[in-house]
Amino acid sequence: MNKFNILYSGDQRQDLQNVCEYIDGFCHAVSMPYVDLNTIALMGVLTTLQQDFPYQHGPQKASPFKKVAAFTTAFVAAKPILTPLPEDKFGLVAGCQNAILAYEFSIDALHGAEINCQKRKKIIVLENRIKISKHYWMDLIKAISACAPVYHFELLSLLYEALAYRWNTDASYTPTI
Amino acid sequence: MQQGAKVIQGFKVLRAADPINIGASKPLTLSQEPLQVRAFDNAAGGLRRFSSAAEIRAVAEKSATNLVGVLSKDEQV
Repeated sequence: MNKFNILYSGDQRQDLQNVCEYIDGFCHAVSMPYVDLNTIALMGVLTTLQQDFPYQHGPQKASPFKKVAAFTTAFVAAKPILTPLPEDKFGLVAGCQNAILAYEFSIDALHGAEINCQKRKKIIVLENRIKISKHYWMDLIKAISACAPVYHFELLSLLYEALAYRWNTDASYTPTI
Repeated sequence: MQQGAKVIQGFKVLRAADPINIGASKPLTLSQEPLQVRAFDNAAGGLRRFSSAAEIRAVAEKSATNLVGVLSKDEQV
């Protein structure tokens, strides 16, 4: 069976299907009986990722970190998920459902992602999934909840990159500065 | 709970400016098979690849379950 990328699969309908499947699976696992999802807003996110990518060379030449940063910021700004997560499980961040789903989706999308490094002339696979502490996660979710694509895309891309390199040390360029 | 069914049901409740819980719009049907996609030029590297919707669901469920478990304790997310 052919494999497809979870985003930028080559077909926006497939991308939509993938994101919906992820949201559905996540919400099912946290015992939500239903989820109100604004599919028009979600389609807007995916259209933005194709046609208004916040990187001058476009999504084709964007690293996986830029791709998930663009997804996260666009998703949070569009707020497609209208139903909060269960308060008994998520406490004070239960209302940050868009930030939480966008972050978890991004982390899972980076797990196994490939970096085609022209400078090092090789493809690097991010074998290890990003992990952070509970304390860091809480602060990060609050920060992501307030992010806007135009201001935070670059910073979030660097954050994802730094977190990925922490758990995939061979993927990083040699720190020299 | 039936696998996914109740959550997907929620996908149909909004269309544009419709208020919540208007059920008249068509539900979004999630196919279990990948569409025939054309290759996207992920020249600088692509995100994780999957072979089925079920595989995506399994990853999402695992992440959610792990997250909820950790949030109730003091462990790494």
